Amino acid sequence: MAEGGQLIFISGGVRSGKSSFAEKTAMELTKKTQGNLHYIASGVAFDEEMKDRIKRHQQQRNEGKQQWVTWEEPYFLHNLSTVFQPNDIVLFDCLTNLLNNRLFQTEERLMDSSFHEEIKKSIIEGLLSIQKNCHTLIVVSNEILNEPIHTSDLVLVYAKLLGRLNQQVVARAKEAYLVEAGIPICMKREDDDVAFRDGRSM
Amino acid sequence: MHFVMGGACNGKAEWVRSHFCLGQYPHESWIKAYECSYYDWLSNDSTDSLVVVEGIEYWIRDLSLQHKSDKVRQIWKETLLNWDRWEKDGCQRKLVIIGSDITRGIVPVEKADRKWRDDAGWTFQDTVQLCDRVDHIWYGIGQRMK
Repeated sequence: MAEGGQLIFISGGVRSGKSSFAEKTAMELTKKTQGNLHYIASGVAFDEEMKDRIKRHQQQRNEGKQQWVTWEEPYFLHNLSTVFQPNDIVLFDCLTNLLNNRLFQTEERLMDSSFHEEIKKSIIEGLLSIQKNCHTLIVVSNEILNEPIHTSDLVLVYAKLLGRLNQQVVARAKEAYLVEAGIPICMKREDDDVAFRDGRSM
Repeated sequence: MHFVMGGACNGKAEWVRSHFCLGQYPHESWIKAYECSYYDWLSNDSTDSLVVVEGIEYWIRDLSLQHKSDKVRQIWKETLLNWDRWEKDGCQRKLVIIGSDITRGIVPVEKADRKWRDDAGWTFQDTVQLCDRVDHIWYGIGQRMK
């Protein structure tokens, strides 16, 4: 019986292959734990193009032998905290999308620092509530903090929030990867498990 | 001199605080680039033993707006050499330089921003050359590069 509640953090630039690596990792872990494979999508389908993209992604994920269960949750991860089993692997893609959705949900409080704190706390708690109830939660994020962030107050707010969230997830993660052009660079690797480590072809 | 670099909001300052166990040096000062000029802190004739300068990309931006790139690099190198002398002149002095990488986004629309980005890339290379130790910070995780 595997112990629950592990976290893996995966980040990279646009089209770096971070999502494929995350999916591959999730599939390998699922084979080990013999649980179910879940995908939490945070994208909101505003238009037909987005709907098509989401559908295409879902089909692609399910082309292999292993089947994914897809959940759409653009705002509150807590809503999903009870749907997973202790052997399940959950892939959440991605933190930046969720932060966007939460930050721009209401315009009135966009620049209100107590609102920012609320969002940060709520996102972390949402992630933890899922992590607690599955075998491993894989969190995908983005590398977008390597350019000037003082261009506007909003960019600064967003950058600070994302930087803080990424740091908090990395601090709690057993493994953290930076994906560069399809190659995952391991930045952190702690303790055992994350599906029994030995023999996991990384 | 010790250079600590990485993306913005990646926990560089926190890393420096814990790495140097801040509070242990007899005199410490933390200089923020957006609050003073790059040569000011040296002219204070300070008794500091640990000096942290944070946000050098803003000093480089000031230089970048005023001078051609060659001149920016020349001034920056001279500045670093001055800092290095300051560090070596005193007993148990340590200078820590923190810089945010701004070179990986979309090509900026404004010419001045493009120049700033180029100048930041070059001066960071120069800074790495002149520092004894360099660490790259990624969401709180430090990786020693030199």
